[in-house]
Amino acid sequence: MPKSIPVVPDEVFRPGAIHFHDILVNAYSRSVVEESARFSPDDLVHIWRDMCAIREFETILNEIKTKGAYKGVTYNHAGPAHLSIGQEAAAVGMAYSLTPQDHIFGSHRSHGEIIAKGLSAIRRLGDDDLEHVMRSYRDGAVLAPVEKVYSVPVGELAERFFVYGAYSEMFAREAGFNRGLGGSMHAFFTAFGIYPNNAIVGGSGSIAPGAALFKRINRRPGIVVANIGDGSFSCGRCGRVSPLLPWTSTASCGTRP
Amino acid sequence: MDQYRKLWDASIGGGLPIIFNCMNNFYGMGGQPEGETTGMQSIARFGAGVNPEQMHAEEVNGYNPLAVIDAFERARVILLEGRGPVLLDTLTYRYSGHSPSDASSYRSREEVEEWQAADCINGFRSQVVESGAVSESTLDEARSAVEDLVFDMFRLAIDLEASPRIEVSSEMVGSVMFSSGRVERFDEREPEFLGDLAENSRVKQIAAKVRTALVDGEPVPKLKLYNIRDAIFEALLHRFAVDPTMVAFGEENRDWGGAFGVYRGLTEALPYHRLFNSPISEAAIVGAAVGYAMEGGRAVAELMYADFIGRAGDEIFNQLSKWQAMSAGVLSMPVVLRISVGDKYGAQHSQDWTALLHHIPGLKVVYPVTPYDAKGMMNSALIGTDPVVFLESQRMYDVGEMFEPAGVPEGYYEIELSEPSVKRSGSDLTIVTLGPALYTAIKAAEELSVRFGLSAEVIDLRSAVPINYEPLVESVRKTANVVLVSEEVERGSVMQTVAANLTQLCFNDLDGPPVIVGARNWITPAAELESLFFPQPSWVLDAIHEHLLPLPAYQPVTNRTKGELIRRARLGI
Repeated sequence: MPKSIPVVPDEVFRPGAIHFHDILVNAYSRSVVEESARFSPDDLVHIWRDMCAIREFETILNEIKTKGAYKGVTYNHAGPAHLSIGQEAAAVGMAYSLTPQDHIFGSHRSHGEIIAKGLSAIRRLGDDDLEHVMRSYRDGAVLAPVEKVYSVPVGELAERFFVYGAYSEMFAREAGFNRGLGGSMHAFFTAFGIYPNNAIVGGSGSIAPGAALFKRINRRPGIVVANIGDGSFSCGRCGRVSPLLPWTSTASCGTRP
Repeated sequence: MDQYRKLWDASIGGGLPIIFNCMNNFYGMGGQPEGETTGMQSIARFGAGVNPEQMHAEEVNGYNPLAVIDAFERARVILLEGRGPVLLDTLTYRYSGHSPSDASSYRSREEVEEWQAADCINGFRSQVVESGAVSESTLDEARSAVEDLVFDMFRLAIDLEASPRIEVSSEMVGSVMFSSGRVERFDEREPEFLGDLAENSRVKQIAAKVRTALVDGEPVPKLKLYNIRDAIFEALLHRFAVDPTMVAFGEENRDWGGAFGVYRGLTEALPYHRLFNSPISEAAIVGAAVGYAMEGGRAVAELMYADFIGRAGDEIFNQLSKWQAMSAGVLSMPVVLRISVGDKYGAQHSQDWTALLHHIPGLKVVYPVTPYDAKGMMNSALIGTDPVVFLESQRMYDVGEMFEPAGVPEGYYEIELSEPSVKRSGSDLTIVTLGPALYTAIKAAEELSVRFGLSAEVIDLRSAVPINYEPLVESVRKTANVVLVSEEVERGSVMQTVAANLTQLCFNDLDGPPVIVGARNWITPAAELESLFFPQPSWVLDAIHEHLLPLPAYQPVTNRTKGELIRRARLGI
């Protein structure tokens, strides 16, 4: 095997210093008016609407967990509800420009990320693709209860299908995305690019790089997003130090300073 | 890991296309990573320690959706240029508690109110309305419509008639624990190789080897002997040549060919991206295999020693094992996790942890110790869609085929993972083994025959999960006595489970209790002292003499009395 990366004493012991550059903090400062060429009025409404959808989705969960009812509808939810009320802009901003081929992984507090990515994917997929996903997914088991009640255009049907599948999953219903075997902390729907969410803090930190490896090695399109909470950054996931170290790449020059 | 750009083919595309996005809401359940539980001050700072590009890390205003969109779009450009990965520290806040039972005792009401006043939804509404781009009524209508949609779907999901719960009484969960599929290849493209396999030095070397341990009753010299290393190599090479998605990685897999040389020759045969050295991080190795399989590829990951399972504990016990069932069968997990089991290297390099693995639902755990079994079982593992932990004994790597008279076939064949294998027929007692204890049992059987005229049947389980008990039951019905031998520490071993099941299955057929011979409940001592720790042929005879069939004029070498069992248990040793 030819030696590829030489280790040379003269270079190893050369005096110098290691330099760091500034890390930007809240650098974005453009107004909606300044961004008018980038975001149309429709785009802005979509962003707004998706945030409101997440807020409502989680407000309902919060109300039934704490008060047993929402808008007069009572329900006892035995399982967990790790909510992210307040974080909607982060979730929607993350998902907004991702394509269905971009895959997200997340944490046990990921309802918002799931909803944002699902709604984003639905907007990007054509009617035929959406029809195919809904009818083929578990032979239409998630779609059937929705379609029985709602006769609406495909885009709206897909949104209902998606929100229904997510709630059903959390409530351990047969029509849940994963027949309720995943539940609140692990809801996912790969057809929309939503990969497993993990009840183990930092759990996605070691798995998501494998998905990115797959895309590289098999020359598949799309990127991977590992959404990880700040609490997980010390947990030693996938390495002695941090969730990020082992599989990450360094600069193309790669030489010591 | 810099090999993506330094060593891998440029067409692969460079650094990993991944954004690590910290949803930074400033709290765990209540502990504060910034200021209390860590000294980082900024998650983005992590990037600076990782690589010269500092992972392109930045802190992003997560209360402005446009700022987050902007950061993600810039990050995507970096990834597509092969300069990934990227770390974003997206600053946000949850007013909701960690869970609905959270009394928020760890933060002040004033703090929560300040964030509610800065609410990201209201803030965005103000921005949009002030810009004049969208009217308030349009925003209100959109909100009202989507809230109705969400509420409608909530009501439909809680309606037991429209949305029944899963049948608790059904075997549904059991039916999705394993996918039990067979997939020749996960993609149709041509598998990538370097050069002509027929010219590969290892392939040529194996072709010249003798595929039985004996020829005309004489042992084949070590250098000419086809061994377990070769058997595993052949199975892997077959699948590498069929499935273009198959990759193998682990510590020192390239050049060294793994610490024990199983992959030797593959460095010359496979491009970097199909066989590569991973960072020394067992959790990263197994975790990456899980992610790779979720995306639809076949991965062979390797842990250098079974003792390192703990370093990948969560990835093996909670991730690799569970996602097929947690997805109700939507995901499959075609991962073979090769783990070698050591000896001679003391307490942290010589432990047989089959019992830990077999305890976890969702894993198949196999431990072949003959070349014939290793090749056939690796072939089965590599065409399947389930996670298979493939244990390999370092002591056995050089062993030739002693049980199949025709030797190890050159062609492809499979062995059903659940099937025990009768390695020696007998009628007076049954010895069930797992792992290298097979050879201990064979020696014991030989001694029982020569010295005491007893005919022992030796059955190698080959697999801890799954197991077909029928051949075991058949044997025990015939012999009425059973000894179970493995090199796991005796307490909580796989053999304890097998013994309990055989007691239930064969109670009326047994003349005595199933007797277990395992390693002592100690640390593994130094190489020179291992005979005090791992089961020896004499221990098997001792157990038979003490509990099952008194052997005439036999002097036990170890104390296997009931009193000693109680003494050890009371002391926890």
